[in-house]
Amino acid sequence: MKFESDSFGGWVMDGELRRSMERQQREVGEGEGTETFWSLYWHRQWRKQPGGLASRHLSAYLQEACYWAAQKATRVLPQPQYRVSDCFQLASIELERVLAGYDPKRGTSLKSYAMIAYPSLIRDTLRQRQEADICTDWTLLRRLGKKRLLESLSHTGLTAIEIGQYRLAWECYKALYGCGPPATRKLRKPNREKWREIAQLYNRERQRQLSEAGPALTAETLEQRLSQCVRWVRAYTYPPLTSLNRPSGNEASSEWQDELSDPLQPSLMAAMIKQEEAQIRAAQQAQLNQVVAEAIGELVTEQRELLRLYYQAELTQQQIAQQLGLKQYSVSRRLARTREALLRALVEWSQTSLHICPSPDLVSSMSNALEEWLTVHYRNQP
Amino acid sequence: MNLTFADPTEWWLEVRPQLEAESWQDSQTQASRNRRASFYLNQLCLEVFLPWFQTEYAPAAVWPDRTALPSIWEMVSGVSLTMAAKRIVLLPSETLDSRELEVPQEWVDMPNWAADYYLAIQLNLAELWVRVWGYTTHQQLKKRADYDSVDRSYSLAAEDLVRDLNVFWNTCQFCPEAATKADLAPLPNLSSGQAEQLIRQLSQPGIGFPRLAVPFEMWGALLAREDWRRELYQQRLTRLSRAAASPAMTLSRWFEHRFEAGWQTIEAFLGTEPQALAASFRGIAAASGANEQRVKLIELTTEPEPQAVVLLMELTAEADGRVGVRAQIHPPKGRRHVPAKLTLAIYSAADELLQSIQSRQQDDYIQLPHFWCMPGTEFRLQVELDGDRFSENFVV
Repeated sequence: MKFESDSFGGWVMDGELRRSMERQQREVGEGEGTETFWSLYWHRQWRKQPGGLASRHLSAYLQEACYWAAQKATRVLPQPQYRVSDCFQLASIELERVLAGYDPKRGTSLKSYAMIAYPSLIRDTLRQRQEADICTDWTLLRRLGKKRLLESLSHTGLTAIEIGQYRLAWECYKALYGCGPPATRKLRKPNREKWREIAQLYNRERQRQLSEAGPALTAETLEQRLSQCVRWVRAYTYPPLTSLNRPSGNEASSEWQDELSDPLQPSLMAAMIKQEEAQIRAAQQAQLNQVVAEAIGELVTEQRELLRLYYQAELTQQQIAQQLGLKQYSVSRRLARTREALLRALVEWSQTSLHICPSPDLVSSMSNALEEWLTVHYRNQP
Repeated sequence: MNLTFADPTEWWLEVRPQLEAESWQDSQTQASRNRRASFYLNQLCLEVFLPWFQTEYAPAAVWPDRTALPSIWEMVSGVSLTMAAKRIVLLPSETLDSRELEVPQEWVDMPNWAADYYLAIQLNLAELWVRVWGYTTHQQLKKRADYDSVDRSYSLAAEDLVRDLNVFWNTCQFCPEAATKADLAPLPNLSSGQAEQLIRQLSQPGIGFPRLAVPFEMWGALLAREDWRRELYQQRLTRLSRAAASPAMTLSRWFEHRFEAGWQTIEAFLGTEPQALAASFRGIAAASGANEQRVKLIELTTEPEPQAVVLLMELTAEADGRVGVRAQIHPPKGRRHVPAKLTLAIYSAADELLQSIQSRQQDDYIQLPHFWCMPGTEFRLQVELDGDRFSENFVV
């Protein structure tokens, strides 16, 4: 995919991927293999060998889902801080997490799954970046996840022993600094006395906690180490966004396809029923659409309005609050309870009509399916 | 408040500013120094979550009961609740990213602490919200989480959590019988002699992280018994606060000409200082007929640049055995005035504010009212400027 003035500019062919597809196609036979077949095939390949060719195929396949997610995310941002291409890039990085989260047994197609997974990943990433951007170094250090820290440290190439030492320094810092009274939110650099205290704790604990205690640290060296940590973490986790690398295509791009704007195939039933029961499924699919539609019908007007604003008008909860003159937390609570009630109606229906005893897994896949249904249903509303 | 990214599958809750202030107060008196941050976070999380959950969903109560909380939080982070026959552990965290749920080993491997459900909770105190963003079960933790032996915790990647709280509540309702717990090996039995020994060892002020100081089995066995845990908590709190106060300046030693490092005579401190400033110090000294005077340079990390001030302590031995104390703040060398809005305060041994004074524009110096007390009296002086503070303990 290439970008032109920050929106979709056209498709670009990747020669290598094309040749790879042609090769595979010859093996299965001309004309064989649907979209679903290939997506499952490459996902299986990816499971066997993450990264590599399968990743590139799937990445290309999911670019569209990624684009829509990026576009939506950019639209809801309060300040136009990130462009669509930035969000697209942020989301692309998360490919492996999307692939890891996809479970073909749940019955959803990979593309539908990605349409749901990408937005939530972009949301997480944007929220973190926004917060990290305004954090002082000392706040960031305090609010940094352990995994992030360890990844950043090993990415810099430190040895396991050095990582242990940096990590202990960080633990000591967190134990003694940064929990100020409510008024002082922006953490400043600790003063000399505080550094001494942290160093003292470190020097005592290094004997006990580290496999190789290493040298004692003074207040100054400890401060240097932690400042260094912040620089590494920022560089590793929140790298500046560079412009997108366009694929080096050697063939002409195709036209933007209209039908791509509605790629979701409702697959609600798939959560409950195996592939081969396709016929019964079709019947039940219709039945189920009815169940959700009825459940929505039973909601009070206000709840229906909330669903419409969130799923159809695609407003953020903040925007909804403004529009309805409600408090933000109240919108959030009502929306969660409304969605929860729909899920409840679905579970009850499966219990009474299908005589399925609900399991936690079933409830969970029904909730995924419900999300898909809501997204498709409301998008297709005039 | 920013719900730009809020999602109906998560629970977003509001923190009342007042609640924040209360939790902060409690953390200052009920937790030892290293544990205050954790105490504060846990209490805030509980006070936001529980009333809301009770109103919206179902009756729930703190496990084992509220009075146990300070002694739990002194050892480990997390709040356990009971809801009907199920146990839930709230795991508050202040981290920016929600890529993993970290669960201290105590909540997983101690048979009487292990719960059915574990909720991942993120707090943002700058924007005053609490976000419940996912959950898992004991079974899943034992099956899929990575164990980290360095900090004795289990961590489960965000992808392996159920990221949908609509599912949580519906599961609780429709699948009350669903298997949630994995089997656990029992912890060893400690004799009361062993427990006493452990409590003595773990309440040494030199032990910064007691939960990591002895093998987990012993630690778990100790913690599991309510009375032992409370005893350890009491011991740590008293010993640590005593240790924290021990580097206090013993002022009456000054009369024997014994001074701690950093305290200088005015003459030594001023060196070749301009006459005017030196005179201001000397004027005060002469007027009081002081027996002993010492000054100390205090550095404050203020923005945009650090500032220094001089703390002057002056003692007089009175005929009735009491000691007169005067505390003043002077500008540092090369400055004529004390920085504006600097606060000098005195606190009692019980940490109650006794007196405080704040500087105005262009004060030459500020001082607390002169006071007299018996030898052995403890107090603490605190200097605060622009959010940064320095404090020092004294025993007369």
